[in-house]
Amino acid sequence: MATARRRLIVGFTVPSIVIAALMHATAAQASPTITVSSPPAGQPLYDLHPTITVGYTSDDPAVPLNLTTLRVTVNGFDWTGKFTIGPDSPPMRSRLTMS
Amino acid sequence: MIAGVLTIAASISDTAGASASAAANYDVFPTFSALAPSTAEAGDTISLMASGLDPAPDRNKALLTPNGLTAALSDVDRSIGTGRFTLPAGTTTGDVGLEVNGKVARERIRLSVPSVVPNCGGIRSLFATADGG
Repeated sequence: MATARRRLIVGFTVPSIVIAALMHATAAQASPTITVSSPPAGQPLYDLHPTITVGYTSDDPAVPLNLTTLRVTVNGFDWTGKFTIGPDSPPMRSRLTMS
Repeated sequence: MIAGVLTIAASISDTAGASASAAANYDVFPTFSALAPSTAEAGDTISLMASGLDPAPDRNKALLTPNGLTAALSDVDRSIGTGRFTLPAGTTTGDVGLEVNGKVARERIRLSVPSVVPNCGGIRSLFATADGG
């Protein structure tokens, strides 16, 4: 089955905070899926600058993701604006580094 | 990042309106790096350096000796990662810990507190004998 792919990379710098995100969207499923894949859920964090990876996908080329609906929040605060779009990295992945 | 409980949530929809969401929770621990001075007495102000401090001072606590004795920080400057507390009465020499929003740093730093037990001269005068000896 033909698969439509898109990639997003996000990167920006603010004082004492460097955030880089790598996102990749792949069309292919009847409904979208999204995961917070890194760090593993429940893992104690002693690093106060963890790399966070969010992955999302939709495998149905006829129903692509609406990337304007992507939201990432940290303790209820909207961090979506800290992402910028960049190239794909299979299999569909987002990466956000924060301090 | 502030030590404590961290929740990361993400969501997205497709053009048909179907949506997906995910969330993950983490315990974030402070990192305790320095304490000054290293010798102090009750009532003295102690400065500490740490990462992950909460800007609300009373959410940060120094864990003292004996076990169970704590002191809330009186002020915090997150821009330079410092906080201060007043050493409470009853503190004895031991390793100081740091707790932020219920999460305890792995690191502990030694603090010496001079003993206030009276010296032998004081005891002798307290138990002076009838003959003046």
